[in-house]
Amino acid sequence: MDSRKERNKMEWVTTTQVLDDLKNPDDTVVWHRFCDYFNPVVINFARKLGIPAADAEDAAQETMMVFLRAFRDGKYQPAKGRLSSWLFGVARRVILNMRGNQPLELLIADKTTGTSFWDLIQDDHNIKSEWEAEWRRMVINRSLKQVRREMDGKVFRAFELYALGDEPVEQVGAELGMSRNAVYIAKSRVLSRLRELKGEFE
Amino acid sequence: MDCPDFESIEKYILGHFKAESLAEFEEHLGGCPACSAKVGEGKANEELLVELRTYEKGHAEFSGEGEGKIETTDLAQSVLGEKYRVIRKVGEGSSGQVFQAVDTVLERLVAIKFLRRKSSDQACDEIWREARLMSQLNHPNIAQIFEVGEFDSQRFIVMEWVDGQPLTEAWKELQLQQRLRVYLGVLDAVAAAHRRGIIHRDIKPSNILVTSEPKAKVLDFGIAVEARSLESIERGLYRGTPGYSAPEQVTLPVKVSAATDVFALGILLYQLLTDALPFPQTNAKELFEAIRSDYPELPSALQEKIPIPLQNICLKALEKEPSKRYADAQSLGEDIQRFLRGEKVWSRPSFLTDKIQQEVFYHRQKLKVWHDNELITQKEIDRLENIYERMISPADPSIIESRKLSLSQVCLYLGGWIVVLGSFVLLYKWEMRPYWQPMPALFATALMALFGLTMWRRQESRLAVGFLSTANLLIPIAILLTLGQWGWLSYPEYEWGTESIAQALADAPEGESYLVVGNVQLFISSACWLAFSLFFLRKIRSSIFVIFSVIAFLAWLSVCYIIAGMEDWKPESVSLMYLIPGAGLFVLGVVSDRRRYVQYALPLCVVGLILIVVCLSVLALKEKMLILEWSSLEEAERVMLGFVVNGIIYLCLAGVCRRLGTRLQRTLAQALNWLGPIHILAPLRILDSNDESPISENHQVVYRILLPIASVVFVFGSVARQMKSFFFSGLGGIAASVHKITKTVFQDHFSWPVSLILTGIIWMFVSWLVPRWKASAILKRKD
Repeated sequence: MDSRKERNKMEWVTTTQVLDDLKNPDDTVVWHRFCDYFNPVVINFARKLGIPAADAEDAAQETMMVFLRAFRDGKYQPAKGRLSSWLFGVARRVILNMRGNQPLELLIADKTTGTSFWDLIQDDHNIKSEWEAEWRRMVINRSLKQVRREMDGKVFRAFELYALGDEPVEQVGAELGMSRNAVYIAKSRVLSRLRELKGEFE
Repeated sequence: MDCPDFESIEKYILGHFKAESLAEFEEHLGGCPACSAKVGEGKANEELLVELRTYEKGHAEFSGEGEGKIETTDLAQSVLGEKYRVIRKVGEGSSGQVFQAVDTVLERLVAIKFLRRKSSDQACDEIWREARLMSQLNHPNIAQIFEVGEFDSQRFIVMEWVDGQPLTEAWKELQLQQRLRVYLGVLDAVAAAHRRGIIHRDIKPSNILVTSEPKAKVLDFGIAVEARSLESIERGLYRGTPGYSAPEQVTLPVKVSAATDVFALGILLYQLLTDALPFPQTNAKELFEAIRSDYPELPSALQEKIPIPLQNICLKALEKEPSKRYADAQSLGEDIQRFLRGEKVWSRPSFLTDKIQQEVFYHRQKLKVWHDNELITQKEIDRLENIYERMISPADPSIIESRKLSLSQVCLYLGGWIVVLGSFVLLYKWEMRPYWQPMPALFATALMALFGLTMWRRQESRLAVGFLSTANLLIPIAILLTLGQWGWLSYPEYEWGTESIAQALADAPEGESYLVVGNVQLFISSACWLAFSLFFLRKIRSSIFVIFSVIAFLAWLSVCYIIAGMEDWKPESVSLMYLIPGAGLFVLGVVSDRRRYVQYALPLCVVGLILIVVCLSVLALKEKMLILEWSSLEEAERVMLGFVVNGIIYLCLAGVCRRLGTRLQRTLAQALNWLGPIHILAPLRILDSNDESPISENHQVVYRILLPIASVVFVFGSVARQMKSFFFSGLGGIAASVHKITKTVFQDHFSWPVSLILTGIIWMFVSWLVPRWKASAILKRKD
């Protein structure tokens, strides 16, 4: 169990840092980290477009590979656009290519609403917003995890119960042995730090 | 007013303040930069909170990264307890780790694979289920699963430790035949799993280890799904598994079946033959595209001397449509075994057939244009159309099935029939009232024909051909028996021609003849045989009936020959000089064939050849073979040895024709290859047959030994170029030798049937054995 704790102290790495490290072609750890960060985004994005789990994973891998190649060839310049937009472009192409040979009837994405894959693709803004949502989810989850690592357990728990769990201040205070104000402060501190990290990451 | 606490600020931001205190609060904010900053921050925080509440749901799904992973040997040891002693980590990835360990109880090396549990992943449960199934399966070519376990929500699989190289590495040192043997082991393993409904899903060289024996061991049955993402991420390259994916694995929705494994096995076979991948693209998109829609390069284009049946088997396994592939590993293995047994493999990859059909279609279109422009006649069009139709028609499965009947199988049937006939004759020679004597033969013929036609209607083509060929062979005998025994059209009341076979048979030694037949009866029976052969040929279209038709035609022709009294025709004037026009015409034919005057070549060559054969035969009959002058041979011996010399000449001529290489010459060579052995073997048999002949005993012994030797040489000579002519005449020669031996040994009436039975057995044995040698000869040529 010790090693698990150790892993939790994993350092906080920003996008810029990951990209910098990625320039070293021999570093497999960085490559793993890069995939760890961005694979879930592509996978969830692909799943939203009605692609089965196994293929979504393939799409994610392919996206990572295409990006890595372009990145090492120096085609990606952070100045020209955010990493998110770039990866979106790559992922979109990969998924479209994967689906290229499909008969239309197989492309029903969301069976509850009857929206087909092609409908989604037609509306570029729509899929872009899906991507953005996935991206934000990833960033928030990353940051949340980091805050949890940094903060005192009680403070974070107070934030969780009060802010996320919507429990009354009094109940949270009683449960954790904190004053009302301390609960409010906990919420404020966690959120502020979260904002900082979020800004840092992007 | 004092600075408000966090509660008040939050209330303010959320709009929970009452109207009267709001004004006071805002006044304070205006004068207190610290508080106003706090409010700004609080507003941003609340916005973030909204976002957080929206996206936090995904939290659980991905928070597990890094958890549930067994990374070190110590950790592995702690999970496994005392039963296994972990030695080292041998493989690792984001979704599973493999350790080498010792089973401390049974003291054997094992490989332990830890599976990462993913709450969202149903695949994991499926892997688990299949691993349990696999643990019940014990196969020499599958790395056995000893145990599946779970400890502290950590699942692991304990497998046999295999010390070997990946398949493609091991192949580098092996020859084609050894490679095939290893590959058949793989097929056997996968087939065993398929029978249990387990699909491997990820067959590739790194999942197949070859031990030093060499023997293949297939790893990761049904548990390989996870390894897929593992490998590609680990290497940072999209290689390995995607290259072995079937079209249905890279097309949505993914439908995996046993045929999916067959595709991967097809890729392995392709590598086995060519040492290259059928889809060599490294870019995943191009690769998937190729797998979905491109046909691979023909193996024979990459590597010389690839056995074409193997190539066709391989391409059939690589069909895009799963339904067009072999249904499972077993049927793929059966076809390869069929090749190794020397049987005909009729697997045709559909795209080759499609290609032929396409080309033929265009050509037929052209024919119409040519005809409209009066470039070709209607008759020529009809002939071409007939040929094309025959080319395309094998799409009918029943015809393909009947054509699968290889020469060796036909021989097996024939052998079977000979045994039956021998027994029948044996029976017949014992007690039977004359009137009923033909009954068994008639009954058997009718029964065989009836069975055969019924089988044909039920599309059991192989059996049908067997029965019908037996019936076909019984027909002339049954008719002769009936006519002879019942005295219809019998000799001498009804007779054509100058001399009767009956007379010759009457001269035969006592006990050899039990039947008196006349020329009319012979004529009728041979004509009926020919008619039935042609009828069966038309109905069944199997090549065996071509052979029967030819034999029936020859029989009918010889009866006509006898009736016409041609036996007496021995012109005294024929000399070596007569060879000149024959040879001249033949050479002229060859030249015009080479010079593209093809229309004259066929008649010239055929007429030339006939002249040569007639001339040489007459010369042999007149003992004019100069080379035989030196020795003190008897007259009969000279005649017969003359024919033997002729046979050798025909064989040499056949060799020359084959070397000339045009289609016509090849056909002529085939004809000569029939003439040669018959001219050699038949005289040897005749020389040894006549007990009252003036030939000295010593010479007879020599011929008696020569006949079986020559026969065996012909049978084995057929191996190299798959010549039916040598094979059949060799078998005939062996039959004659066997008959002679049984006659000498038994010296009574039973010699005939017994010899038939023995011949049949030997015949069957040889036809079982020779094709195997042929196949291994082909493989050796490749090596």
